[in-house]
Amino acid sequence: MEADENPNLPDAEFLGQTGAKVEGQTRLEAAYGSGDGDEQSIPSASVAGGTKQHEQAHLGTVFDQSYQSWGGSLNPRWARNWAILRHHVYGLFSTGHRPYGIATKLILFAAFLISLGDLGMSFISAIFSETEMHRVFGVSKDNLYGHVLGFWPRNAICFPIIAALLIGGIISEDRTHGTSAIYFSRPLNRIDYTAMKFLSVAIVLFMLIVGTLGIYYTGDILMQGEGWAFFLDTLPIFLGAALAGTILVFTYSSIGLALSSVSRGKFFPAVALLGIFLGMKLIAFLIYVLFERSVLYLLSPYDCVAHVGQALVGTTSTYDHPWTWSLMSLVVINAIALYILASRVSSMEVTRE
Amino acid sequence: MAYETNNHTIKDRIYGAKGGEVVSDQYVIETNDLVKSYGPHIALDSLSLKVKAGATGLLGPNGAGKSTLIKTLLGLIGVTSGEGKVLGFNIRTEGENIRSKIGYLPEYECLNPGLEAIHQVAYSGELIGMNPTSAMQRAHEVLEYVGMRDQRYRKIETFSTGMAQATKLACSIIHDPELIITDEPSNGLDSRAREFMLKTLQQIVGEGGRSLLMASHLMGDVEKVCDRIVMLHKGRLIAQGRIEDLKSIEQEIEIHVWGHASELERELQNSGYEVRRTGRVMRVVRQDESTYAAIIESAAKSGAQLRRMNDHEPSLEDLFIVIMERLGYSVKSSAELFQVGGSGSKVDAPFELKEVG
Amino acid sequence: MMPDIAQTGQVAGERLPQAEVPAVMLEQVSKWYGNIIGMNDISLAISGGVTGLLGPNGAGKSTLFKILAGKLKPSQGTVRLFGIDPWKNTAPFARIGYVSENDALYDWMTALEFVTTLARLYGYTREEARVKAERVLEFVDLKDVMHKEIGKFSKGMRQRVKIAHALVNDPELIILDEPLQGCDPLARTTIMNVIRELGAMGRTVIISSHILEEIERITEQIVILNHGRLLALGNVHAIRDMLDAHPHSIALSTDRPRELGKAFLDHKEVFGVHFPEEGKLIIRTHNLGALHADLPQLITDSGFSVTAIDNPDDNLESILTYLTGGGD
Repeated sequence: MEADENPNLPDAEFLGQTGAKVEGQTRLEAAYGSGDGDEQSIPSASVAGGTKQHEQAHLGTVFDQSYQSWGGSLNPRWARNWAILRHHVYGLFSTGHRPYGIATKLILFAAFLISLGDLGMSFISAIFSETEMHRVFGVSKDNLYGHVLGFWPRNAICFPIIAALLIGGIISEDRTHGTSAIYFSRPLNRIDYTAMKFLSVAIVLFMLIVGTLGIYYTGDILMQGEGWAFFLDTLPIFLGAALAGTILVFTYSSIGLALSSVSRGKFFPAVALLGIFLGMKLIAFLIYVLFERSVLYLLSPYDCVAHVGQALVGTTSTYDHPWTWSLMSLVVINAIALYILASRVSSMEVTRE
Repeated sequence: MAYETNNHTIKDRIYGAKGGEVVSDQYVIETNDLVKSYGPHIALDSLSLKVKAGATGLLGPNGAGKSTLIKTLLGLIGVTSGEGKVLGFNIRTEGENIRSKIGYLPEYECLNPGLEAIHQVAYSGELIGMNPTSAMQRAHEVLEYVGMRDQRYRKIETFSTGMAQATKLACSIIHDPELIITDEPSNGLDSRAREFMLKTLQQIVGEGGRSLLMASHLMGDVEKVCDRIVMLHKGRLIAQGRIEDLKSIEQEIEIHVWGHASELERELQNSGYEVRRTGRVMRVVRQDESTYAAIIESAAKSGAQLRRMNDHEPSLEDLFIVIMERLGYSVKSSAELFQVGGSGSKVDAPFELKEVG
Repeated sequence: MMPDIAQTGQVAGERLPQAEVPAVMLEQVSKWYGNIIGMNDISLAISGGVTGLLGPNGAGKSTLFKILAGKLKPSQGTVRLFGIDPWKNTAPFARIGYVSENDALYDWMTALEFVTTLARLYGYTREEARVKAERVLEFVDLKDVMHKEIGKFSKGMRQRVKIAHALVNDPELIILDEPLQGCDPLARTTIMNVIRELGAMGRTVIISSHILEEIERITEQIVILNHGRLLALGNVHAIRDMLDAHPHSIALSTDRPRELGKAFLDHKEVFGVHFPEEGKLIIRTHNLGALHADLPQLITDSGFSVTAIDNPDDNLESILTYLTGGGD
């Protein structure tokens, strides 16, 4: 452009014309109370008696402000993603990361202990060599299934509450506090952001649901002194239950994150999650009892997972309709949740106008 | 207080996207016929701007497209047509690179109140890709630089607006970006905090050698920190360049008169000077060196007190208003507020972009 | 004892009949929150004109505004707006417009709906309210977007909605808490203009802002608070005059500072001169008015050329610094 080539032209461009300046007259203003300049009277005022008048205030140079540059290099994508994951998961155990309330941490710990309840029972029966008791609490199809998908007490109380606590503010807090501006003004992909948040919830839930399953399984086998044959026989059941547990974790996470991305607060997503899981189950149950129709169970996420779980583990199905229907329903539910999540995250703003 | 740590020394200026030394005339932002439309609404209209290294103010009335422009420069939204480069990176395809090299200070709150300042700043560095140790070390440095040394371990929810703003600034410069974009940096700050913020921004540009694009409505702030401006209106570029070079407003001497102002006005007019007056503030068109003496003499004759006399330097705010008036907007008065069935005094004066050369 | 700031000043245009009852009156008002004093024995009356309210953060300004808005009851003392206690009594608010600093607008409403609804609360009929709302929205330049939801507005636009709703009922008392934040220079100048004119019409405007240059442009009548106490009120120059711990200075720009300085030393009101830098002369005096009265003649007689005159510390920033030590 001409402005750069010709050093004599002023560095200005106005209304498309290079070198043009702004001409005109500026406004003339006088403050209210300043009078018209003609009066002789002196304006009045009062200063409170005993007002301390400070000497020249020192807006001091209390410290030496000196800019320091930084010559480091930046790590690629995986490091950024890891930072998000770390921030969310480590926050449960140490300070300096995402803050969780003390209540949340305590409840998580309690849930962990409750989930190991069956291991505890099995341990007791092993110590006292109570074979009868062991038949009830030891590794079996029903117990492995029950560990992840047993409705009472785990899926009715334990797991939903933990899921609700974890997903409560996970995305809504970024909206409320405005921290989305920090995330997205960085070289962060929105997909990575969502995935890492998803993972952070899923990992904790996985540890709680499937991790404890693994501990129960191996613990029981070790305590009973069962051999490799038993292990190989029961492994497919264990894997089936683990897969069912993973599906449950995934479903909790996707619905939970979707709810958190819709709202701005912490409580709505948590309560809504509980409502969806427990409420739908309850409604479907009532319909079943009243009308002998189990089809409504397709709308209850828990029941869909439970049905698929029954098929995977090989226990008897408690539902009248084929398990493939439940599977389809699950896919649809998760797809809807993820779609909502994706569209809400993509609408999160860095600036506002 | 200057200190050296293992691999940071002061004075090294890392310019340029590729790490080489850069001539100071380098453009940090360039756009070419940039267009961004949302359906029928055109947010950016054939915007061709060139922003040099250093501090530049981004001005414009509300709705001019400043936020949209910032979003496109950060590579956050797609453009409808046209090209743009920030620090040499293409805004359409290299958004991630841009955001690694830019610091952004948003207008609204963006900090997690439950975190301590030091952890929030370190986290924001890790999100760019700094490894946790460097991020933490740099966070300490940067929080000290913005004057938060004694408060960096406190939770952000306990901070005043000034401290929160300083923390935001720390988050944006932790990775030593070459260009910092800030949106209303002194919003909500009292005079002390505001002065400190502006001084710090000046220092980053001056001593640190970084570039700054400052979007603000406070012309006083912009004048203090920036020597260039870019002004938008309805998505179009209205003016760009050095503030000094843009001003070509009539040279006037402003006086504040206490007592006998009307007499003084008459005296001056009788002596052949053009005088404008509102209450006790007057402006006299400066004819030559002798105008000052003539004013003082006339004041002595009329018994008026000259409490203030100076060359009226049109401020950036004056410039802004004059530009808007040239575009057909005017400063309204209360008469328009109270009249029934009022007609708008705003007229959209069409302007043509003339071909140069 | 109650200092009274009855505003005088140039009045142009329509003037309201002089009110017998002041718009705002506080008598020995104190408010404490537990052990913390928000306001400490403040007495003042404001009636007509524009008054700026200043003080560092935490000085008690927000407490004062909340009390005026009827949201807080003073622990001690009486508050009267147009003679009525605003606590739990909405009667005075029909004549009051209030722009608060916080951002609580109904995001789901359009700008027009919002202002109309609030106008109706003042007792106007639906048609009247709508007409007034449209007019005031046009005034703040939101005519093009008045059918858009407030949730989609930028900060400056939200600010203008707040100002619009404060003016919709033609109030006699207008209280503005940081009204200009987020406004571009044109909007800011317009609003300042209107505030001055409203003051000149006899309405009462109280405005608070951190940006001292803005207050200086708007009004010379100010109230200064610090640590919950009333430090000063009245005309800014008069206040400066009363700060005798800080003598006045007049700064002159001239090419012969030393010679000109000598000419001044003989004047009885001058107790010192000094030369801070080349081309500059500072004259120190205890009696600014008397010196200024003689200044033009003295300069003319001396024959030296003076190109600028200033009172470097006769401004809000210096006064605040002297009275509050530069902040909290």
